[in-house]
Amino acid sequence: MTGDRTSAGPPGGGDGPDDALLTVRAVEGDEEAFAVLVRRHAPALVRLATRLLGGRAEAEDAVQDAFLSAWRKLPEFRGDSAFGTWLYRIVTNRCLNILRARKPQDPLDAAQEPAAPAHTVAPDRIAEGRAAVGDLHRALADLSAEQRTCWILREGDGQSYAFIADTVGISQQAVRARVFRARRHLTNALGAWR
Amino acid sequence: MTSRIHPPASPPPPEPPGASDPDDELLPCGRLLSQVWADREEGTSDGHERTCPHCRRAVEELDRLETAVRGLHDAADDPAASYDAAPLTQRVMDIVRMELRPGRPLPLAPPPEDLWIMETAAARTLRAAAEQVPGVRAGSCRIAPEPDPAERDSAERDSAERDSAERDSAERDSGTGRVSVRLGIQALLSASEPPDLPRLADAVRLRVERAADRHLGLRTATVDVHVTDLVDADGPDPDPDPDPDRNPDPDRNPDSNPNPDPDRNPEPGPGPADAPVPDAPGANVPDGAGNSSGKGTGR
Repeated sequence: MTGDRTSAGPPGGGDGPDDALLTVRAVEGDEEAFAVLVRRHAPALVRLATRLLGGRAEAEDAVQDAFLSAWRKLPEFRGDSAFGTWLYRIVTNRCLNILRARKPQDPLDAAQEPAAPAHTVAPDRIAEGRAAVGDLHRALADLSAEQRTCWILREGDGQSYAFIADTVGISQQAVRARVFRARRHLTNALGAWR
Repeated sequence: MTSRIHPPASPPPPEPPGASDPDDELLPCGRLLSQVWADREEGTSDGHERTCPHCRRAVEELDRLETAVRGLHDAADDPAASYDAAPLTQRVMDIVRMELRPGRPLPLAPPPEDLWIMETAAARTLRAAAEQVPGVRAGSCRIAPEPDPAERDSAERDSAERDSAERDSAERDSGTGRVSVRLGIQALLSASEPPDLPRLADAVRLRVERAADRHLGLRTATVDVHVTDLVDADGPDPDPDPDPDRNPDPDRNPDSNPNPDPDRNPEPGPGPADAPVPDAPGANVPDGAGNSSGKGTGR
């Protein structure tokens, strides 16, 4: 189900009302139902926004704004997509706006570089991995807002080109071109290409 | 970067990402880098890349990038694994509660008494009452004042010409002091018991009428119960998302817009009284279940 893109809560049956039911209630102004939806979807959306923006605090602000925007738009929500998918879109576009508004080469990106992971990578690749993460982070800052967003949705979140095209509002071909350019730039940055 | 203009040795598939992309590169074997990567991503292969050192190296670069990406995300996601959504939820809800959409006022007594309850508050109580019936989850709950029969004809005649605000105030001024309730429920199915939807709907109606009367003091003229969905109590819901394209997106950015306003806030939506009433967003209504509802008249 599409809601799984943001690892939605119980799809039904299990514990508590499903997203569809809670959304109907929220559309009718039931803020308690909306609160459950917020709690359920916030972790995945914060993770997405953190990937897109590079920093947790800014990501949380973007997600908060997205939820408020959704609350205000809910009376028009017609239930054509799952709540999680709808919010995924809103968060992505809000982050895209923020990235566009950033000055190029925002030094924050370098400052917020996370520590390299010490697990999940095979031991013989740890050193290479650490260096690569640093390189990658610096190179990410060079990408345009669109390249970065398309690439992160594709590479980081495994979304289809069709989904990204819908979400960002450009053609699939344009998405493919941006993902390609991002990969080209990032592989170059990762070291000796040739 | 080499910049030869020869076409690739094999015809490109329908959507090459960058046949004319200046960042693309023609590998010494005659294949476009974009094509090699696209084949890799989509798992298509004609065997060439197994023997071609250029293609193999291009693919290795992509693999290396993917390894680095995983490292990046592992680092960034670590705290998110146990992300505490409570503070964010609190901040969101603090603002939401200042922007409530309480719905329309409902009469708690016939005119000339002036006692009212807001629809959203009443709906919460009625939904909770419906969920007292085992195997029931309540969704949409719309409650409307029942117009006075003597004035209903003229109200219906005029309604097309009056906006909802006027209509609401007309309903406040007249009316019977009763309300009509339209409730959508999900029925949870268990494998052991066959569903008896009419009985379920009756039980729900009874609970709703009683709660309206005892807890709210609302006098119900009609309570319509609609079974909008049958949900397997033991298993997951089927995919409720047939088409992700048609909801309003407050932040949609057409790519062509070079100067979007990042702080653009949407106007508050139309009043809830006029909002469309979906039975259940994305709900699957199995054949025959949608209208197996009871329609009943209280008192």
